[in-house]
Amino acid sequence: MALIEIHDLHAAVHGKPILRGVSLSIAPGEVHAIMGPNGAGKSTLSNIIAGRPDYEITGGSITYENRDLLALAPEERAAAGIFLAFQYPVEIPGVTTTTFLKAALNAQRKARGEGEVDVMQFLKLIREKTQQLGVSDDMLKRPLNVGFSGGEKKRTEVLQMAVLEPRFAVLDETDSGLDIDALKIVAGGVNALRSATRAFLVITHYQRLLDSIIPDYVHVLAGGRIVRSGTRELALELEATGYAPFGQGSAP
Amino acid sequence: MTPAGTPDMLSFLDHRGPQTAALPAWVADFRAAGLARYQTLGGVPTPKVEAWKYTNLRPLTALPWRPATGEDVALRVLPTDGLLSIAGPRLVLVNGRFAPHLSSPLPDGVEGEPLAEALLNDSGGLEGLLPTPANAPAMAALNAAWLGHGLVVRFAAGVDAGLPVHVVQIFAPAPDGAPVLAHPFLMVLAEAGCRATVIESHIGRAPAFVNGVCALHIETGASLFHVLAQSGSPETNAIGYATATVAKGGSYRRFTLTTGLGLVRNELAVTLAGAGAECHLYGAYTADGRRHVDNTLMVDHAAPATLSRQVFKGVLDDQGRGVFQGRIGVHPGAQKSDGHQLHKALLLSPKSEVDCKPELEIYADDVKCSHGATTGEMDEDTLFYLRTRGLDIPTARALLIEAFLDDVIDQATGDAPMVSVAARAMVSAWLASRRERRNQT
Ligand SMILES: Nc1ncnc2c1ncn2[C@@H]1O[C@H](COP(=O)(O)OP(=O)(O)O)[C@@H](O)[C@H]1O
Ligand SMILES: [Mg+2]
Repeated sequence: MALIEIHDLHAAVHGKPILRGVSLSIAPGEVHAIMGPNGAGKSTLSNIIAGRPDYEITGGSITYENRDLLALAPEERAAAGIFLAFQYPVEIPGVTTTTFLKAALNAQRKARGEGEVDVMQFLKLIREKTQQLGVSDDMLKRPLNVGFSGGEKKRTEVLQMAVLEPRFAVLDETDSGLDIDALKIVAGGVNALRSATRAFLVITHYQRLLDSIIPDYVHVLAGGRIVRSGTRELALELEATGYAPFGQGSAP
Repeated sequence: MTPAGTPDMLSFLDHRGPQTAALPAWVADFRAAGLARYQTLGGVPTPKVEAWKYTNLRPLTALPWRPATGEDVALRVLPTDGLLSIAGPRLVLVNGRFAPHLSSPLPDGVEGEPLAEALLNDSGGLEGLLPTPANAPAMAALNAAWLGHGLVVRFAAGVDAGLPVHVVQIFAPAPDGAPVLAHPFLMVLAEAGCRATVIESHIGRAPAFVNGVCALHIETGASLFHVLAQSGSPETNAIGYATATVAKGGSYRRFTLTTGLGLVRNELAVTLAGAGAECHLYGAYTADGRRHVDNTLMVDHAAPATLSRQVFKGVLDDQGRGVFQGRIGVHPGAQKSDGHQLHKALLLSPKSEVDCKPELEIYADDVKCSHGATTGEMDEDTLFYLRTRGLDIPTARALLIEAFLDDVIDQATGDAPMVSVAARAMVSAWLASRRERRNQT
């Protein structure tokens, strides 16, 4: 049984078609990778899964845990266990990382009918996760993402994922802008969350991330369609050939 | 001569103050000068008067106002709103009249005297410290015509006052339910080298029109932190004209926090009169419903090496309206002056509005002056980001509104954690009431 089933998804922005029939089925426990040239529609797909309102769904469906995902508001999706690590995380002046994490955790708990998290427990949880991910105390006290380096922003995205413990997480180019050490930390954060009940969709430009997060399947998205699917070897092949064989740009 | 269109504002002038006979002679002259000035200026200003272009008092003047009386003071219990959770001695005015039963004793080195008594006693060179009606704007001149009630607070030279002194102004229903008109006068004298905090609260509980005047004197090397917190009923309307004179090496820090009342105008004219004098003027306000909040600031750099900062932030919702007029003036010879002004507005509804008018008037060459203003709506990308983390739209918006105002609260109250916490609580209370109203409709 799939955790999430994307069926023949078509989507447009301001009348311009971007996704032209994407189908993808991801079972619990699986890690899928999507690779593809710039402008292929990878972020569009991520944003649609998370519920960004700017897109027009012109056809197809997304079923998540037997529910019509497209009918849910973004916050309802979050409460149901969907998480998106943004390609470009947003800066939130005036809201510290800690305050933000607590607000997010409590909002999701409330939506699930649970009480607010105990303050001591919360601090313990945060301490544990920040140590794992090399997030400094200073970053926790600063307004979320404000003045963070590219790498710090990506690590904070993974920290949020670790704290919120989603069942289905999409990582949109979480590796771009990271040096090799930061990449390992981020990959470690993802691997620590891998479990038989959780699934991941990892979007990347570079096969090197897939050395650390070993995917079960690799797909190539080009021109708004999945043009090839395979196993890990496909990523290695792409590294050699680039995206030219798919008629779109070239490899990074 | 009666100014056209304003008989209602003048019809009860003869009710004013304590019995004239017992007062020193100069008081009658002062009032007469106030009345004459008010009349010369044409009475209640219309939007044709440049400084009142965005704030129209005329609709208010049509109501059947009745001047506050001693009976209004009967209020028994002090409210707990706003910043009143902060510890410190209280001096309470109800509808402008001193309420001894609600007030508490002051520490050594601090004196507070009801104006009515101060006038009778003619103590402490009061006459010389009052702002001259001949130069006052119209509404302040009207206040002078009514001089009689209010407070005189004095911090003795060199004293470190410790706890903040609360000046609490409650606008309570009159026994007969009539809309109340009050002309309170507040004077704060911070003598040389003292350090003091005054928390002035305006708490609206009734239909009222308050026309306040406040005179602040910050003497050599003195440091005054003055918080004005305005909350309560939108039926209470409060306009105020404050002057602050800052002597050599003195510092005036002001934080104006408005989360309630109906029509509000806080006019503040600061004169940096001595070398090295500073003023730091901060403001955070919300205007929802049909509320109107006007902050009009004038800073005069009249001496060299003076510094001024103005940082104001407003949140406008529904048909709320914000006005920010900020002038920085640098006198000839006020070299090395440094003035900066910033106003930021967050518009939450298409019918809300903000008018912002900065003005620089510089007559010295070696100065640093700048101003900035932004008006924006809530960022959709940020809202979406918060929603993907599980926050529903009202919660996400509330968080962003809080963050927007927290920034200026932090700057204004950085070293006063009690004020900071209470100020945030005022904003939270406003957000909670906003949410409740939204749920009902
Ligand atoms: N909000 C938007 N408005 C206009 N065009 C958009 C928007 N989002 C995506 N696009 C367009 O859709 C195409 C796919 O973009 P995107 O999904 O970001 O690609 P990728 O993430 O694969 O690089 C691009 O041509 C991009 O310009
Ligand atoms: Mg992208």
